[in-house]
Amino acid sequence: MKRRLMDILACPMCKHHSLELHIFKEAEEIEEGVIVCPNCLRWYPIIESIPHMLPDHLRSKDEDLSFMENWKDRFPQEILEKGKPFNLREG
Amino acid sequence: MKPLSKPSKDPVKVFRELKEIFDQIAGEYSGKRRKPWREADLLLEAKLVLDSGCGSGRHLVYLSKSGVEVVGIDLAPNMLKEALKYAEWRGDLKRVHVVACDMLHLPFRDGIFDGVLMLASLHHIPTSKLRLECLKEHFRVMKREGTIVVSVWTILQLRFLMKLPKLLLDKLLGRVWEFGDLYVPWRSLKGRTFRRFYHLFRRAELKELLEEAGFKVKRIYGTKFKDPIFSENHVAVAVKP
Repeated sequence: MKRRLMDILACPMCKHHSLELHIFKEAEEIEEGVIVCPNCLRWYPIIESIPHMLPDHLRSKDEDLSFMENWKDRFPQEILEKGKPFNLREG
Repeated sequence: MKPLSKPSKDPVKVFRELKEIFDQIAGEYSGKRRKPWREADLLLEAKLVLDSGCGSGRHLVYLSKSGVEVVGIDLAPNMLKEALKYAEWRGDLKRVHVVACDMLHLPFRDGIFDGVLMLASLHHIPTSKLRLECLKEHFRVMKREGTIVVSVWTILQLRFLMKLPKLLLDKLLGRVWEFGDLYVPWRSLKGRTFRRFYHLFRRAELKELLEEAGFKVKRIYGTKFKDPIFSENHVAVAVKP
């Protein structure tokens, strides 16, 4: 994913723009990271350079939580605890 | 025509199935889908194009090679991996972006795309209500005067002719939502068969749906590849007024 994609991205659920970008791994492009909606606290993983920006009903809880667990040292604390639709505190 | 019962299936289940199927067949699908459609040429003047249901990316590469910045979206991340691989192999990643998302919940700001390519993807969405929602969502992210090119499979083509009575029966018995709904098998190299949901369109139906979403339909025509008599696709070119 290229940084300038952030200029056009909005939250697929609440349509808020702009979103926050947290980069975990970057080479030529952003390879792993998380995109956070500061309005509704939803978070969207970037996996193998592809941002996954699915609505709640098409997300996989297991996959999302294992991604979060993997990168928990790098996630914003607020999202680990209150992020939607899944977080480490409430599952 | 009142169905005897309603399909018990939740439309959301169709999306989940399609995501899973296209994720699984991405590798072999990609090799079979390389040649871009001429319809992509209609968007060569655009600055930023959304390729909705881009699959393994043949039009992403084509448009990007022509100097257009392009964002490809697909429900199946594995398709997007194929698309990135293909773009990289063709040596042209710099104007290509991909996002895994749903056509009914676009993760984009209002009014940013001046072109939308929606080839062979709208017909995977169950119910006319959700197809309308999908077109309205694309209307939202488009600029005024922007062009949308939509293609869908037609209901009147040779390979489905014999199936028409069954399609009608399925509708009457409430096995599907609408007349024209069917599952088309994809036989994988490993011998597994995947059944993908399709809704086959009448031409007037596509036009009406686009108009209801707010678009102005400029022209609508048929294209064919193998069928000797009938068009296999309806193609509509419309603008956001």
